[in-house]
Amino acid sequence: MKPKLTDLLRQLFPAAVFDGQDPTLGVGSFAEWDSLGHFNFLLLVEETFGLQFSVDEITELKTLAQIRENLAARGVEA
Amino acid sequence: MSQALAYAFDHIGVVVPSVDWGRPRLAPLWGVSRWTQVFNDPIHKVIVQFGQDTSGIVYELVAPLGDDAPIKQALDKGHNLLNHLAYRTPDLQVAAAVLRRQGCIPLGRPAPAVAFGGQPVQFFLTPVRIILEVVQGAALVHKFELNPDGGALAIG
Repeated sequence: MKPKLTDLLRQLFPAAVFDGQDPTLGVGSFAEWDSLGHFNFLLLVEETFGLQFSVDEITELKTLAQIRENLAARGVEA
Repeated sequence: MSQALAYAFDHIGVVVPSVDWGRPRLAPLWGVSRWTQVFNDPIHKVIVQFGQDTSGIVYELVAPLGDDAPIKQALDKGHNLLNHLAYRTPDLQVAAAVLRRQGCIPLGRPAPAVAFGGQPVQFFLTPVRIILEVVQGAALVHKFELNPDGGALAIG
């Protein structure tokens, strides 16, 4: 069973405290989720779900909700 | 096409508060005695200077140009100061496609770099979480001058 995006966030940022249901949860929501942290997260999402984002998607996907919506459009529940 | 990327090592990027701060500290540590001019790059919001040690390895001092420089995050957090490895390639588009197939994620679109005469560069985060910079231009060379006192040579 594939992990959820919130599981991946906890894996990558174990010290962070966040609300996985917060629709605004995204880059900058906590200190560790900076721009490089975000690329690390997107790379982890790609590796976990076996997909690749386009350059446009990489620049546009800034929140967990946007990433979840993108994956849903690919038929991936996360 | 082979998965091997046609590229040549260029430099190791090291983040410093300023090149004037970094140069005299790097020089004795790694035996860097030859430096290029200083380049101000408003596109990448960095000030850079390249130094070469006696074995030929090239280091790039990378300092933020302005408070909104992305590289400032590394300085503020003290993370990722040994910042990236850079390679020259004859065709950045081909290299980018190869790197993407190898699981690297682009950190942005290709953009011209002042320090490389306006040639495009692109950064990638690799699956081993090391940042790669790929520079278009297989024959690019840095213009070093002997500068034993570690002072700046010129402002570009």
